[in-house]
Amino acid sequence: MSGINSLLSIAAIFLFSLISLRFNSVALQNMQLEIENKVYLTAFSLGDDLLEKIKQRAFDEQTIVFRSINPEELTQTSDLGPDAGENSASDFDDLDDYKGYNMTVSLPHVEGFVVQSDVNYVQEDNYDEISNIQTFYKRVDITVSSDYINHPVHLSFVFTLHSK
Amino acid sequence: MNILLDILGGTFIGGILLLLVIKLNIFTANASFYSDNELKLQQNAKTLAEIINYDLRKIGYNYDGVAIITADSTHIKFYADMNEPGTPGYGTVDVVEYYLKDSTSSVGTSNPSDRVLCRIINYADTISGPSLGLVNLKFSYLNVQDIETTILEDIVYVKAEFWVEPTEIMNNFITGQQDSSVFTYWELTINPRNI
Repeated sequence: MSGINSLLSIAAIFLFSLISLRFNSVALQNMQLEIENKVYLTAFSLGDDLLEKIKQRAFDEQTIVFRSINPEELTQTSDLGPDAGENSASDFDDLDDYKGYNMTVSLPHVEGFVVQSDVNYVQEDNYDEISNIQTFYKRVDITVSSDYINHPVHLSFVFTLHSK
Repeated sequence: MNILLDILGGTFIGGILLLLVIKLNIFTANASFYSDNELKLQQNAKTLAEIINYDLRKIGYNYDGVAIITADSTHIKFYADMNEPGTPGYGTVDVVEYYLKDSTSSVGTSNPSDRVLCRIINYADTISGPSLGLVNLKFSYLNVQDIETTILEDIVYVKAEFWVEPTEIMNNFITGQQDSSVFTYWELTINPRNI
């Protein structure tokens, strides 16, 4: 085979190899995205599950038995979190007990989801702003993270005293 | 002699390239099929979640008393007014039932494990559509402490877990083997407001 023909053949194979490699990496990225999407869906589901459980709790320790109350009688911002004797979620009786709560969930297709929650008072006219004093609005922020997703999932829900 | 070698060499290399092109085409088709199946799997799981979520949320609506009649791992029966205010039937409490049929109920799919989820309203109106690839469903019932319970009046949360596989048997496009590990798992916990 002449030299020029050999070179052309090698160039053709080289070009084809490049195209194949590129195609393979695109297919792999696509597959990765599909699986990641599945993990995202599950993460949303887990966040929503925790929210459902929190919805069952009272707005505040002081309103477990519902009564008229002034904001300053509600749990102070510094005291948000589990109360004495509340060691696990089954002991929680109001929603701010979930401040700082976290759990690890392993499911059949993905292991090691970490579900965390935070609870703060928010301003009455702007739910995005955390309030340093008690208000009738508490925002629950849930974050679900996993090694298999690039960005954690955040869910927020604002509860008012009359929610429960 | 040189010409003969050129022709033979050219044919050999051309053949290899042709085989590679064909292989790449097969790979593309398989990857596309796999991708579509995965997408369909996720859509089916989401559809099932929405249907179950919508109905279970209504448990006990417009009904006084213990709303759940049967609480089994694959079978749930409850009282609920399924009609919205202002629509015909509103004000009448319905009996809603969900149960999972066995794998023989799903005809027309090549997956031997998929099963049909059946929804019955008032013992008569039976809706059971396609399997949507559902292979297993598990209901569990939790009390206010988040602990599983079988006492009907203590149930506060209903947790539904389901496993969905493709309706058609498919081969892994890399290994070429039937890949039973392709599945989606979904779980949702519902706190019906009226129980």
